[in-house]
Amino acid sequence: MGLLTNLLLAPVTLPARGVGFIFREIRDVVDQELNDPDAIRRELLELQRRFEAGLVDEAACDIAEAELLARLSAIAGRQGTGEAAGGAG
Amino acid sequence: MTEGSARVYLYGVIRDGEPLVLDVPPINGDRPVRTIRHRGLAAVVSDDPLPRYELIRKNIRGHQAVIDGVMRTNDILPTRLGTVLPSARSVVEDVLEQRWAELGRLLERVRGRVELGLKVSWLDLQRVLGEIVAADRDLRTTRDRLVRHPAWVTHEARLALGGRAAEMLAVKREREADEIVTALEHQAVDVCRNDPISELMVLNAAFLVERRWTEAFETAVEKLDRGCGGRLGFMLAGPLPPYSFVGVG
Repeated sequence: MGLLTNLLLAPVTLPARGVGFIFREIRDVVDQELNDPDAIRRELLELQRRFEAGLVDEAACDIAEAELLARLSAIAGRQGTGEAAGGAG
Repeated sequence: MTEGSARVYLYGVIRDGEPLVLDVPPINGDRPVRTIRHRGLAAVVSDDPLPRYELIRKNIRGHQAVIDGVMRTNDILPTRLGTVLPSARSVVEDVLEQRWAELGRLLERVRGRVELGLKVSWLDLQRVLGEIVAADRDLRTTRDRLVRHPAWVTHEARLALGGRAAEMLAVKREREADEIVTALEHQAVDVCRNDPISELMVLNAAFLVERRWTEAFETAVEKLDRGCGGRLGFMLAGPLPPYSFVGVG
């Protein structure tokens, strides 16, 4: 996490904008990861690969899938589209 | 029926004119799986698809069940999960007609053939690392020195040792993968090698095999399994539709 490293190494006197600016940057990076449907779909793909390779058992796979689907639904809900559905069909 | 304007879910393409039994439920909904026929080809489809098919096991199973059902009696060029066309007409025009020659060629390629997926992994990474260290004097010397002098174990030294071991692991992985493929490839028509999924995985490959040779192939894999001294785990999947050897959808 280059951003955090840079922040850790920054001079002690912060710019006038202050701490709020830093928190916003961190939040943006985290938001991107949590709210990117493609990132979540990549996780689903990785999960299926691991299941096929026998690295994850069925029960664990079901739990992980449910969580990822829930995140997709939540994003769709926030963005007001119905597109992230399609798992419960 | 407004067949021309409704979206359809596409499972794959088969040769038209051969006996076919469609008795597997569709991936969703209740309208039965059917075919759309055109110039000697037939698309296996169903109606009322969802807006989207997420990559979850329920959908994967539903998709594969139809394809596997067809594959029991017919050669099929399978699609990826979630292949939806805007209409039956689009299936005819954009898939069957547009790619008619290529689909015919691919169907010939897989005539009477199935895919067998083989994933082979080391069972004990520690043991493999031990083999690497035993075989490489420099690595052994470096490792022994660091073990004897913990104070010398700097971050850099640790990184260097780890890096070297990783390199040698990669070489060993590749060599063992080649050995396995060499032992099996004469019993297959074609091989498709993919990237291993984990550090322990040595081989992640798909073999295109004649239907009547699948048992012999399985026996050959079992023989490798028995003869590897417990170092490797073999996971053989199939017979599968030839996902790795065609590209539809």
